[in-house]
Amino acid sequence: MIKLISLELRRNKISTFLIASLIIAVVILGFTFLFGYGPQIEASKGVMPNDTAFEIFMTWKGCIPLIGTLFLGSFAVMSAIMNAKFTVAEYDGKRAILLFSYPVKRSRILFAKCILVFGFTSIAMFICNIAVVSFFGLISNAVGILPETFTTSEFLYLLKFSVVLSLLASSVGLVAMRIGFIKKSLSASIVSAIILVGPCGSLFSKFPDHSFSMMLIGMVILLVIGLIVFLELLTKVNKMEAV
Amino acid sequence: MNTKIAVETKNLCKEFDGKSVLNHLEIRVDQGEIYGILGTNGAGKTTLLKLIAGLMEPTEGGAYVLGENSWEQRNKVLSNIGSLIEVPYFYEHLSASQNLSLHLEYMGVSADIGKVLRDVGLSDTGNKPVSKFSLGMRQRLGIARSIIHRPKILLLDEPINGLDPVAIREMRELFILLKNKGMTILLSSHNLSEIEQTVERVLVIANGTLIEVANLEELKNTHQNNLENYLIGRLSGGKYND
Repeated sequence: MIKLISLELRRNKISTFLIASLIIAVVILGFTFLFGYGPQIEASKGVMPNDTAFEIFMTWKGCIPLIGTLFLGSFAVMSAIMNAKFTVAEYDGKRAILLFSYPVKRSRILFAKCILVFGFTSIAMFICNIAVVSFFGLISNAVGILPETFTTSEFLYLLKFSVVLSLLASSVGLVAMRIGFIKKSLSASIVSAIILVGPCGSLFSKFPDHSFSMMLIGMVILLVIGLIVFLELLTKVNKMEAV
Repeated sequence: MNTKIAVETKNLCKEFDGKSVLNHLEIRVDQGEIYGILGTNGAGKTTLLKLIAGLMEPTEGGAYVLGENSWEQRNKVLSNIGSLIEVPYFYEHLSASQNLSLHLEYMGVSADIGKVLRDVGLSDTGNKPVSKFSLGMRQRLGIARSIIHRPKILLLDEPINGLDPVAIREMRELFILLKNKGMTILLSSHNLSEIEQTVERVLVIANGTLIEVANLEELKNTHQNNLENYLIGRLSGGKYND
């Protein structure tokens, strides 16, 4: 299996997605500072920061899920694109002849592809989320952007949140890929990812106090759906013909 | 003489959406021969090769490679096959040698990539990505990929497509060399002269039905000056009989 994953890495340009992950992290870091300074900017104009959106960004319990949601949306779409490039495109039409000509179990090749994309998305999002929030937290501690201090307890909360969100983003990518596989379409995969990830963001803003439990439930549901569609796809690929 | 069978089809049928593409095809290819499949466009040549390569499931009957069912034992079959079927696809951002190296990894064997690239006339491509290759170069690379893992059986679907006359001759010589080394070659073409100059036995196929299997030398002797007309007559179902 490790050999198959390394072969996937050799024949696909993973560097594109590494760069994309970095860009996502930098852009979200920029947004984080913008949101963080929002209440102060408004206050300097004489507007009292009592809006719910501002409240979210005045505590770490509100701030961490919000930044996480931005990462979730971005990485879920990136995961769908990766899945579409690594999997959907390679089983599309006559191109499938190439993969089907190897004397390797088709299910093993598909498994290697999905594991690679799932793993890459989860790890990249986990690292980016931790790095961006921690960096923001340290700067906030130094210059006082947020009224609260970023302590070990916040960092542990961030760790817990990042694990759940990373798995959620990868699961969304997997389910979106299966939907895109029906028409062998990249756009269908991306649109599916956006549709799947949309409700998570809405739930967050509506119930910020229960965001972690909601994300956990969402992650478990999508992970189970992801596993089911993956197993169904394995069967489908095994029976596929190179027409 | 006890000749071993390399490829065999038994009552092989294939339908697409209820439309029959191959009808109860029975062929037998002996080990070490170059076997031609001649047919017009849409006659079922590519479908036949795909069924032999285990890329498609027969609607009825079966294809067997070295005694193994192509669809049911496809991984065993695929390790004995080299194929160039339809337009060859590659990893476009990789060079010729990187593509071949990946192929070898998947096939689980090692080989001298430089030598094979020299054999097909691609030794000077260096790190040039395949996306910059011409049609002829892609075809040569497709042939290189089909032979590099030293398969026992080679399936070639219109292998001279996109090649210039010099390359066609070089490839023909290469196929004969491979045959002399013991490789069995199934070569499909709609090009009569290609079939005439390369194969030993020819299967004529029209609308998915076997019209004739003949030894080419015997055909040449029987139809000394009008073999082309004879074959066109067979392919056209008698419409252009000489």
